[in-house]
Formats: sequence, structure tokens, C-alpha cells
Amino acid sequence: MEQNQLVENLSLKAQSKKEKELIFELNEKVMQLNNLIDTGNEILRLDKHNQIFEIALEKAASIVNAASAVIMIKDLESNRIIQETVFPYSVPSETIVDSPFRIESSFEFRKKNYTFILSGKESRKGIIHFNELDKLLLNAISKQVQNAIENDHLLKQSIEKERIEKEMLLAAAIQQRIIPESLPKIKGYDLAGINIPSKEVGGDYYDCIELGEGKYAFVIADVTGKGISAALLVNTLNAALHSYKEFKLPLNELTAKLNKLIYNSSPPDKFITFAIAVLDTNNGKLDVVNAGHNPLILKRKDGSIQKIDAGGIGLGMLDLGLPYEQQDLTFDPGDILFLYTDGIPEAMNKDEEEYSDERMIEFFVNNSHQASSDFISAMVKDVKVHVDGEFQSDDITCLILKRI
Amino acid sequence: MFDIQNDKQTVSLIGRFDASQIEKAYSILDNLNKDCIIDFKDLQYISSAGLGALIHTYNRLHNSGASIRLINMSSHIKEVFKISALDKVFNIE
Repeated sequence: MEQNQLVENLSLKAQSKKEKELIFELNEKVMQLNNLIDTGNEILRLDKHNQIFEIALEKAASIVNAASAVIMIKDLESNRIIQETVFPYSVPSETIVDSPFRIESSFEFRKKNYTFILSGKESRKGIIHFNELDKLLLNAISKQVQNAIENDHLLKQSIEKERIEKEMLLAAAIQQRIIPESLPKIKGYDLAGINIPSKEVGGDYYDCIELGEGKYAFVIADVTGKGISAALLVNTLNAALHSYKEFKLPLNELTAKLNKLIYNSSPPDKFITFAIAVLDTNNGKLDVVNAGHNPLILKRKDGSIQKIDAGGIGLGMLDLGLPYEQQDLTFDPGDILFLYTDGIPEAMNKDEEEYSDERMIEFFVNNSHQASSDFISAMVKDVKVHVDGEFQSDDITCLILKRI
Repeated sequence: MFDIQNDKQTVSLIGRFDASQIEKAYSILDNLNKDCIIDFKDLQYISSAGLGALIHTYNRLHNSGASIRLINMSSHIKEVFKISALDKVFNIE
């Protein structure tokens, strides 16, 4: 405002025609600069790209008296123009692009090129060429648009990051609620389990459910995918298991029912690999069904190893009424059952070498004489030695049951 | 690295098929609409999310009466199908 006042005062004192012209020019430039500042403030407040372009074009055209203006966005990967915004609307973009009276300014952002073109400076003498100042002004507007687009992108990124972080916290909370805080004490048995969630929160689950009359169910499961959808699916499985325990169904029929339930409550490409072993402590009977999960490992007192993989497909994969196979075993004194998820054998070091089934089984064979909780701590430590500080991409979960 | 190509209802899976590649895989798998073959010759790894995409495709084709055959599977990937008991569902050659 002070500048305008100054120009007006100067104008009063103007004597010659030349001075008047100079003052007119100066006045115009001050107006242009004020206009530019207003445009910048206006553009920075907008968050929709199309609005930004429309305002920028209109202002750019009016500041330098351009007859028409266009902004063209070119995708640099496909080398194609993906958007054109023209001011005024009625002008075909080609007439601006091909005009002999034009100036351009462009910038690149996230593999896109944004080019502003102004055409035909209007003056009292008709259409004339733009001058150096006009080019500077166009560059300044183009820079303001670039800032607005970059700010908008950063803002969207931080909102998305916050959303993902919130989702992960929620998923972790759900998972933490399902994983048992403590396992039942079973006389004559030594039981321990662990779940170390990965940063992205996988859908691993283990449990020991007391069924009454000296029976216990040992469960391990792994849901495809991570985050909240995986956590919710595990939650469904957990709720179903705790309600089905009343029904006393044969284990294979229970698994078929769980399959149908998970199939109906999950998206078509999500499923749960699941294994359940039911121990009757009255007679040492151990019934096992493995629904598409890594084999359970049973080490006998004599040191022999048995892999239990009988069962069927993962829960929720298909609803074709395929039966599940149930394996009926005995669990004698000195026997050890080990249930785990693929986060252990597939734990990778920086050379992308997996911890592997072989190393896991070897470690189990050599160390499972320890108390169950000590064995689990030792195994987790051995996995950590292997990965050597690499990012843990999957949950690490296992459960070990020893008959003393 | 993962790639998926479709040549006249024969789909080739190449590289590592994990959760990050699901969208890319569906862009091809969702276009299959009759009897088809999936070639595993150049597939090094498949995660459970990859299996999920194949199961979804199997379900969709099965419901419309079309079949799906899996060919040239490495022993490592065959083991994944065996563990998940999908060897009993898919027609694996």
C-alpha cells in the first residue's frame, strides 16, 4: 500500500511525457508484484490440484496481460500428456502451444512434467511479445504451484503414514489380547509358548485351551497377510475355538466346521494355516489335525522324530466339503511336541539365507531336553544369531509341550 | 523381482511371488476365464499371499466350470503346496 501511495505522489509531480510513461510502467509493476503475492497466498491454501492450476492460470494471465494460458502435465514414464487445463476454457490448447507470442515455464515432480505456457501479451498496440519481467513473473507463479503440489503431497503422505501406524497399533492390540498371557499348568507336563510379533504385525496365534475332564487343546495358526485384517481373522478363529469346545466334536469334524466359518468370514484370498492337537491327560491320547500348517514335530523318548502333517487344506481356502484327516497318537512320558509357524524356519539374514527347517529341527533335537521355557528362549536366541540384526519380516511363534 | 505373463491362457509366473505383488498378479489372473495353465518354471518363491491369489483364481474358475493346471513346479514349491495340502486340490503336473 505504501508503495502505491508513493507512486501516486510521484505521479502528481510528474512533468514530462517520458516521466509519466515511466511512472505508468512502475505502477503496473507494483500491481503485478502485489498480484503475485496474493496469488501465492491463494495457491498455497488450495489442496486440490485442479483448483491450483485454474487459479494459477487465471492469475498468471491477468498479471502479465496474456490472452490465454495452458498448463500441461506430461507423464515422464509413458511420455504422454495426461492433463491439460486451459484459460479461458474456450481456447483450444494447440493455439496457445503453437503461438509465436508465447513464454513457458516448467518443473518436474514425481515423474511428471508440469509446463505453463502463456500466449499473446495484450497491449494498447494489440498482441505483442512478452518481456523479461513477464518471464520472471511466470517463473515465480510456476514455482508457487510447485510448492503447493509438493506441500499437498507431503501432507497426504504424513496422513497416510499416521493411518498405517494407527492400524498397526490396533492390530497389535487385538493380537495381544488373543495371545494367552499365561498357559495352564498341567500336572506332569511342561508347557511354554511365545509370540514375537513383527513390526507390521502378522497374524500368528497360539493357544492352550482347557477343555475339561483332563483334556487340553494346543493350537497354532498363521493367517495370510498382516495388519488389522489378519488380526481380526485370528480373533474369529479364537472365538470359534472357545465356543466349539463345548460341542465335543471329533477333531476332524471341528476343523471342517472351522474351515466353513473362516471361508465365510474372510476375503477369498485370505486363509489360516492351522494345527490343533488335543491331549487327554487321563490316557495320554493325542489327536492331531493339521490344516495346511507346517508339520508338527514329535520327538519320542527314544530320540526318533515324527512329522505330523495329516489333515487337509488351510482354513478358509476352499469350501468344497473336503474332509480333514485326523491322526490319533499317544503321548508318552519323555515325548516332546513342538508347534511353530514359518516365521522361524523362514527368518532370513542379510544374504537372504533362511534359518531353515533343518537347522530348526537340529536345534530342537539337541536342546529340547531343557525346561520348555528355557528351550524357547534358547531357540529365539539362535534365530536372532542367524538373522544377525536383519529386519524381522514375520511373526515368530512356537509352542512346546513335554511330558515329564 | 516378480513378473507374470499371459500367452493364450498359459500364465507364466517369474521370480518371487509375495504379498507385494498381489495387485500385479491379479491384473493378469482376473482376466482368465476358461481352462488355463499356470507355468511355474521360472518361479523361485511363493508366499502364502501368493497361494491366496491362486486359490481365489481356482475358486473363481472352478465355479464357472473351467479347469486350471499347474506345470513345471520345482521341488521346493511343490513342498509348499504339499504342506498347505493344496496338492490335493490343484491339478499339478
